[in-house]
Amino acid sequence: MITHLLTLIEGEWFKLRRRWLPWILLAVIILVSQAFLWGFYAVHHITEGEGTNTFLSDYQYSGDTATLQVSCSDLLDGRLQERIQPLSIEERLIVEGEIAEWGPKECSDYAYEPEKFFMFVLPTSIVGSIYLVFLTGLPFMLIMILSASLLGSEYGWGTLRVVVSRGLGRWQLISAKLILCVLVAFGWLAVMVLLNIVSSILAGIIPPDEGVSLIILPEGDTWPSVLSTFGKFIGKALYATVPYICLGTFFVVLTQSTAQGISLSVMTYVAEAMVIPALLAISEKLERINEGLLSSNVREWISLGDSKAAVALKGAETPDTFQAFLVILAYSLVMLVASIWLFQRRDLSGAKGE
Amino acid sequence: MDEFVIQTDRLTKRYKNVVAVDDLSMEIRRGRVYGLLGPNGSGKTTTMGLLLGLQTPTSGTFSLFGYNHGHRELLRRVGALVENSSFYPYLSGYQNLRYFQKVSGRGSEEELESLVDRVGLSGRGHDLFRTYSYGMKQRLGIALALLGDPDLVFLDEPTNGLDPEGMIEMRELIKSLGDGSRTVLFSSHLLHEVEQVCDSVTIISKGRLIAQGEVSQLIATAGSEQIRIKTTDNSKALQLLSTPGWVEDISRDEDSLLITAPIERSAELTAALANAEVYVAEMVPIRKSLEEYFLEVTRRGNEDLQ
Repeated sequence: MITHLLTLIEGEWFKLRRRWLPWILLAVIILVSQAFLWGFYAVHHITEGEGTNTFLSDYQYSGDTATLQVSCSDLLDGRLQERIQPLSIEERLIVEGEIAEWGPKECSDYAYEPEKFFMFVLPTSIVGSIYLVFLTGLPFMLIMILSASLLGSEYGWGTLRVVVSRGLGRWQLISAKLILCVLVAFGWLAVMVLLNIVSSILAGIIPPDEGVSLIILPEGDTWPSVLSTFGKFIGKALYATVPYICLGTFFVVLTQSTAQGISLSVMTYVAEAMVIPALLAISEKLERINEGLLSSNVREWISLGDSKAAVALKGAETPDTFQAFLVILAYSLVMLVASIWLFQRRDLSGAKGE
Repeated sequence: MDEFVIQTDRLTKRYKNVVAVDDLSMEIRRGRVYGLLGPNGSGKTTTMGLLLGLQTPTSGTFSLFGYNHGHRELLRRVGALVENSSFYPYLSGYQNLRYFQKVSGRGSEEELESLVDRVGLSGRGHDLFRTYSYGMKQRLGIALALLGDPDLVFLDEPTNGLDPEGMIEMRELIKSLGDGSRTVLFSSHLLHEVEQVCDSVTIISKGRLIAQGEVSQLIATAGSEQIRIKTTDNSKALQLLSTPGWVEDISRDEDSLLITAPIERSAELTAALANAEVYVAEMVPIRKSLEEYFLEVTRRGNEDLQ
């Protein structure tokens, strides 16, 4: 059975590599990833390292004993206690409570200045921009498009009838396509990593940084710890793509059409990642539902976790990593089983000409 | 010993209010070219689809090569061209065959070139499938159906879109496929083609089996044959031939007489006329064609269903 599955995966790759689509999607993801890397490089040099977070509003407090401002930088650098020292004990409690709410909302997008620097300096730059690309959700959209197209095109061309009539097996066929999508996602990650290394070297050897910022380990980090973090991130990012691959496949099996499958997948993604969380925020009770949504769990799952920003914002209510793992697994399994169940039972008609 | 490669038992496929295949029970023996005949929408393609696992039967069962389980494995012994030839448009004809050869593990790379030649695609095998004419697509579909030397071949309207020369080539090819132990199930709306190519036929109408058997036997059972004669005195001949019991009917047809009687009675017929000094100038036996038989049984079948 495994040999047959491997043969089918090889066959799928034989076809896929001759199509334009995976290469176009790869080009898109590389462009965005490189744009982040070189964008940070440009900002760092244009602002001469002063940062670009001035648009973030500071927390302001006017009390009986003192008036003060707390910036994201104060919060993330652990200077909060120092800043609220002039206040009375009661006022400090009030400010701490208010900052616990303000911090996660205002400072979640704060790019810590040294972190920005590390976005184009090895070794942090290896996955820095990839992490940001994943935060935008773009890889999930692209992989959904790929998985939907991989099966949907076969409905359009009518080739599914030919494949199935040769006794290749329906669930085996769909599994081969899903596994190939995961492998392609891995390929995308590998190419992005390689290009980030090349770009970082380039950023380090061209003026004005020639030779100065080629390789800098963040303070307190060691090579093994950095590489282990990167390895884990790549693994986690790959795992996070699985439910989206299954989602794209499910909608194609449901509609038997590439266009409709892609549209429904993207609509579901947008609704689930953007619209529903906003609606749930209306009530605190509803907000708990957010913890079961795929997108919020994926965000938590791929977060690097031990960055200074994450530590400072630990008060924020986000699902824990194990829960995120389980939620992603559950979504993947439900979509996979539903896709295979439907695909096994559906009659296969001729070419739809899409 | 004869072996049934296909057996269906009350096979039924229903789509909401439409019954595409209705209680169909048929048997196909090994090593012949079988014709599957029926008017448009009679359920030929659906029957093939059910046997190939493309559709699920609403009720009834079927077996391939005597087995009614392990269908997926059995399909590895089957080659098929069902409806239009569907392939990956961005791959060449050769690459398409290569893909199917790779994933099904049937046939060899060397076989591909010879298959492309055999179906008349030499010189175009490495062109993209999307550049093929309809006839070329059909040829590639037939090449795929033959890939891996299958024991059972389904060909649904394989000569569609071929030029006359191509149709003749294809007929010869299909005929040759039935030599030996291979079985071919061949559907076509061109009845003279089926008559030329097939040993046996199964006729279905509105999803139901109407007739099944060897082509010659079916035509023979369809009713009496006719003989057309021209004599020196047609009026006298008409009078004389009204008497024998074995002449079912006789009528004038322009300057000839049309006699409904068994062709093997021709000698008696000429003797009877000669004895009365009426001499036969021309005698042509008129056998019923499969087409006439087909029209007759499908009309009768439809009447029975109503």
